[in-house]
Amino acid sequence: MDLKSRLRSIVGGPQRAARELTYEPDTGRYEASIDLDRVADVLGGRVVSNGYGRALIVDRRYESDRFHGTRRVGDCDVADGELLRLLDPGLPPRDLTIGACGDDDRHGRTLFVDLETTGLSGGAGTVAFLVGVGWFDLGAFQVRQFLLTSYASERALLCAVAECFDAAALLVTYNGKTFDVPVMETRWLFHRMPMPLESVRHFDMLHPARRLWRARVSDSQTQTWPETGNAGSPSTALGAGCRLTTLERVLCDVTRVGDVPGMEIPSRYFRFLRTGDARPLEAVLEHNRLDLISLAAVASRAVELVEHGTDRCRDAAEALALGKVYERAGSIDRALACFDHAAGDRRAHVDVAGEALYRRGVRLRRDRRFVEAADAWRAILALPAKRSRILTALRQYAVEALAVHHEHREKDYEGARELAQQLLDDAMFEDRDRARHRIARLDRKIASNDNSQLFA
Amino acid sequence: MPSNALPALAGDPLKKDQLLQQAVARLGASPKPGGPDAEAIVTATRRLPAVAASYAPFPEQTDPRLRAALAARGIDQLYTHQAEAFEQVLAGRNVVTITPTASGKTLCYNAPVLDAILKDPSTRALYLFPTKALAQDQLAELHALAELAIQHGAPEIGVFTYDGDTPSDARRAIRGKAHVVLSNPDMLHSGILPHHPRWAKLFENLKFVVIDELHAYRGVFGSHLSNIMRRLRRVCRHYGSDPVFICSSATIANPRELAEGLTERSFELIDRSGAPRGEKFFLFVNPPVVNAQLGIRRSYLSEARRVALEFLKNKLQLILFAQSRLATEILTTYLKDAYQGPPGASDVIRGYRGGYLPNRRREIERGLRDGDVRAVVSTNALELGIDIGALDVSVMAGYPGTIAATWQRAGRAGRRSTRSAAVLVASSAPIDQFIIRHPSYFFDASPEHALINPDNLHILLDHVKCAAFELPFTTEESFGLDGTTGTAAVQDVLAVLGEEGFVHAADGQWNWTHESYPADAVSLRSVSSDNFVVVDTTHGERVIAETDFTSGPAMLHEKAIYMVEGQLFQVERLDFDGRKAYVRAVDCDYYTDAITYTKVTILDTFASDAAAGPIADDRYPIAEESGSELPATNIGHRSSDLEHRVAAASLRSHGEVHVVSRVVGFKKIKFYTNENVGSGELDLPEQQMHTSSYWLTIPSAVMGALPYGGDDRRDGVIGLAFAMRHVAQLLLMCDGGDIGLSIDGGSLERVTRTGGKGGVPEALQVEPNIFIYDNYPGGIGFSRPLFDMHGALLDRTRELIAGCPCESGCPSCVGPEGNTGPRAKAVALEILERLLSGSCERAQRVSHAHGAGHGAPASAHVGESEGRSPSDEGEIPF
Repeated sequence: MDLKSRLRSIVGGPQRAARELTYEPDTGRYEASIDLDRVADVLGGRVVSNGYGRALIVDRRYESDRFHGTRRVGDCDVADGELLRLLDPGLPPRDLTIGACGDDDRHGRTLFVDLETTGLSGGAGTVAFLVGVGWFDLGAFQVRQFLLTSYASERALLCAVAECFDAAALLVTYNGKTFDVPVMETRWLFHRMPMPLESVRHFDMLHPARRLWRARVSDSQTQTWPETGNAGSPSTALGAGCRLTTLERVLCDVTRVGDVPGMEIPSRYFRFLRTGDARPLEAVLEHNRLDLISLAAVASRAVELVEHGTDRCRDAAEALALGKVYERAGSIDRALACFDHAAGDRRAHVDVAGEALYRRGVRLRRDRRFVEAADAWRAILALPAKRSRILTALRQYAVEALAVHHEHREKDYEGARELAQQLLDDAMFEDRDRARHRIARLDRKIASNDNSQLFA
Repeated sequence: MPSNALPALAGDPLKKDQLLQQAVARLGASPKPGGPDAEAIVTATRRLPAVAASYAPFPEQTDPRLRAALAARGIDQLYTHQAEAFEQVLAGRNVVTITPTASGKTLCYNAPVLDAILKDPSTRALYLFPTKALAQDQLAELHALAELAIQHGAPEIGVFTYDGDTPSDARRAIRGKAHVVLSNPDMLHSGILPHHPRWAKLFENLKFVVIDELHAYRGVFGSHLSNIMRRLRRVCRHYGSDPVFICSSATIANPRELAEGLTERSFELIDRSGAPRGEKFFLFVNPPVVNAQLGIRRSYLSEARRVALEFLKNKLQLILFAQSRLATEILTTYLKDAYQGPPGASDVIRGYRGGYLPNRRREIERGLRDGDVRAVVSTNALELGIDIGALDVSVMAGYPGTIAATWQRAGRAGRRSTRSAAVLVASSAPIDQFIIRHPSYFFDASPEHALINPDNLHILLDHVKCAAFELPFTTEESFGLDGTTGTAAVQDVLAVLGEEGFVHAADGQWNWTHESYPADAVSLRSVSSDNFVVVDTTHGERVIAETDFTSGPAMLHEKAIYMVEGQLFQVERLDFDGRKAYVRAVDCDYYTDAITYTKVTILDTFASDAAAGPIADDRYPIAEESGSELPATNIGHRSSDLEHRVAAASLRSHGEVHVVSRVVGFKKIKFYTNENVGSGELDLPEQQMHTSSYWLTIPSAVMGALPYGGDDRRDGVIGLAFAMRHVAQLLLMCDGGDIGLSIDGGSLERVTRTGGKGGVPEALQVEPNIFIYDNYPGGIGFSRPLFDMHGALLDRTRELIAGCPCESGCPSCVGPEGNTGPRAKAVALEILERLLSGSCERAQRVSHAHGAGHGAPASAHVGESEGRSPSDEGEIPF
């Protein structure tokens, strides 16, 4: 066996069956010649030049009265302001001095960003071959896409992208903190070019979207108990149900026709590199454009929610989620109103109503509004009895909280004792011990109360 | 032994010396061989004299803050080897130091690295250790030194480990702040190099790469590391840096060659230690034979226990090395049973092995340093440079497998000034028995060569993928040896990768055009990443181990006993296609050994000759054979004598072969006694591999002249092969699984005798071949050295067989008699004698062109090698 056939047998693997090629085999004999002007023609773009060479740009404009699903494009604009900081308290406030002195209206722009890459792993060999950015211009959504037409021209592309990013005051992405921005940074670092993104504020829509709509888009009905489940943990990237395409369908009734599946995107690009034929890329560019509009649509819907509060909530679950978002941002009154709204919604599932009351109670108690908190605990106990693990746990909690309230706030030892007895009857394991201790203590207090009354 | 408390440690050094000598003398005077209560035989006692320290001043230009920091630790001058390393590094040369344990080797790299950082704070250094634990150990040391330097006016020096345990939120900070990054090859391979843009600051300023424990990188691991270094140098070139390499190694025969092979840079070797050393006694102990006929010896574990107790009684602190985790636990129990401390007192006898939690390990290490722990029983986990202070005695239960490792372990006892002892207790394995009966092989010969083969096609291909992911190859670029001496040119490799869609050539470069992250598919500790996982079903399902694809069927066939952490599991089901073996914990007193039917076909003969060739080559010197202390000066004389004797002998060859193997059955073997207690048949798919091999052809003249019948001749060849394999393992410094053995397509097992069938070798060829092949696809570089060591291989094999006291074969020489046949030992010796004495005529051998006598598969390839005339004999066509 000569060396090449041995190499082939190792690369191809001994067990691998004959397979269908999804690309033209690269025999190394020729280099596909990519005619930049023709590619621009096919994709409806234009070629721009900078110090590093030539880059391909595709521009599209979506006028404000156009509809994306049920949502008007003109309503998708996201104002860069305090409302965003309600959704993401970590976002630094806008530095108004920049906007104030900006004579160029591009400065201070909010840029929506989404990449298409050659792989999902990151690292030096993962390339962003399509950088899609979008912004609002006089109510219309302007999309600009930068396409890498050969690896050798990446610096020219990065230079053009950097120019565009320089104008931004805020980036809006979907999972960009974990993926898109690190990938872009790696590209600039790879070519040892200055990084434009370091100082730009970044709003990643993924995490607020999870908080607001995870319950709605999640197929599974299993919910976690709020105290222990760490419900907001964004540990898995784009975990079940919170993908952008799911959200656009659920929130805006968008259905895509003939969309390219995400996993097929890199191989389409590799095929383009080998053949120079840009036609299969048209669908990839369209996919990227739809992602950008949907990102704007979803972000604007979230902003709308925090702006208008319960009025815009579709149901109790959304109100509860919104309440949690407000609470996290320190907007307590609005949070309490949301919890109230969710608890008062008669169509609400008891679990949702129960959790809303629970959160309301905890919040009020923390703010030392004990009487109102006690009302919340009583409201939990007044919920229709239903077999539900969550509700059972909530009731347990409410009884104990009420017992505490009666013992320490109201000094109503008899009432507290009654509740503690109820607790003991329902509790298990160490909760029973806690309940017994409480009863014993209350009995002592009642006895000494009796004694003092006796001596009084 | 009644339970009693240990006497206090001897504190006074003079008293301690006395006690040590007493114990050594008592062990040395154990005379009664034979009989039921036979004592062990001490086969050698050596006294290694004390060596005084030799010092040298710091290099002129040493940063004063570093000097002050070292002075604060009581270091006012350097040992000569430290100073030399420092000077060489200052002069920009790559250095490799080989120095014994406890000679201050870390300063050889810490001093020049810290000096450079103090002078230029942008300086960066990368340290590589073979294990995470070693990196942690060094982190503490380097931290302490950096802290002292800061007290003496140095700016902040960032020292961090970066490995799989580093939390992800700390990683970004480390990338920016670390002056010194302590990591391991696996992390460099999959976590650092593929993300090099994020490490730009490190790579732009990388001045030093430190590779500690260099000797650990041999075989597959070393071949991978060599390719990782190629990738590292490419990335450094991209960022415009060209680091100096500082390596340190235990004593091996070819440290410079290994360092140069791993980094493809030229090196200065520093092999004279200036560190002082106390006097050391070294004893070899062989457990007595209890059944001469079967060649069964008393358990070496009991013997090791006896030796250890002898020293413990004399108030000495010791480390006892065991060969496996299981043996570690057994010996710990033995010693604890013998010495139970007072109730409530802390344990004075501890076990130590991989699998213990880090906290527990640290506690034991501290206990050893403080003297609270009197004896520690350990696997090789304590062989490498973990700091455990100066112990008095090192006892090894079983030969560690290599001369280098034995010296490492012996070095854990006895530091700079005190007297110490090391005792090797042999097991009944052939290698142990050879070493124990030929002490001079150990004491006087050079240690082993560490071999690597970075151009193994499988390994090379994997790393070319990783390299292409990291940086595009230009269409002119080379990688490593690249096409010289039979290696693949990287442009050819890239062309094939291009055909499969991994890369694409455009604008003068090969770009990575694949979605995968290639480093994830490469495991540095094996050739192929395809593997079997072992699933424990005792309680639920839990993956407990994995095994590479090649050895899967032999280790994980149904009913096999699989061992992990000393625990025994039996394989209940092997899902071959799903690559899973389902096991269940069992308690039994035997293990299993697979019977593999192997057929080797010669594809290409690289070199072949009838002469023994350069057997006295100074790379592989012949050791003196002797039971006592003979001066080493005889070696030269003896070797040339040997060369003369071997010169007119057998046919040796090496080349490429095709190996087809199938596991056809298994044997059950009792622990310790190695008795065969049962067997079974198996039907598993065959495995094929293309690898390299050494082979010995026994000339028909030798075979024909044997005064034995056909069956006996066959037994003799099988017995010879059995012994040769073990000696080859000894000479190659490799693990048993690294090499395979085959005789002209026949299995080596006489299964018929134990009730099975199917593995019986066919009738021997007129000129049988014994193949010792690299047991990895593509070969790992053992066959060429073995070809060069042919003379030594035969000579050592003869010594092993002739020196074995058994009557007609035992597990320590030609294999147990029940397996090999009654005359195997005699015939094997006869063949060796004839091969070594050259009874057949030279002219006669020349007519036996290689390949002519091999069966059909071999002769089909004769054409390929015919270009080489048989008259070229003695010349190696390289």
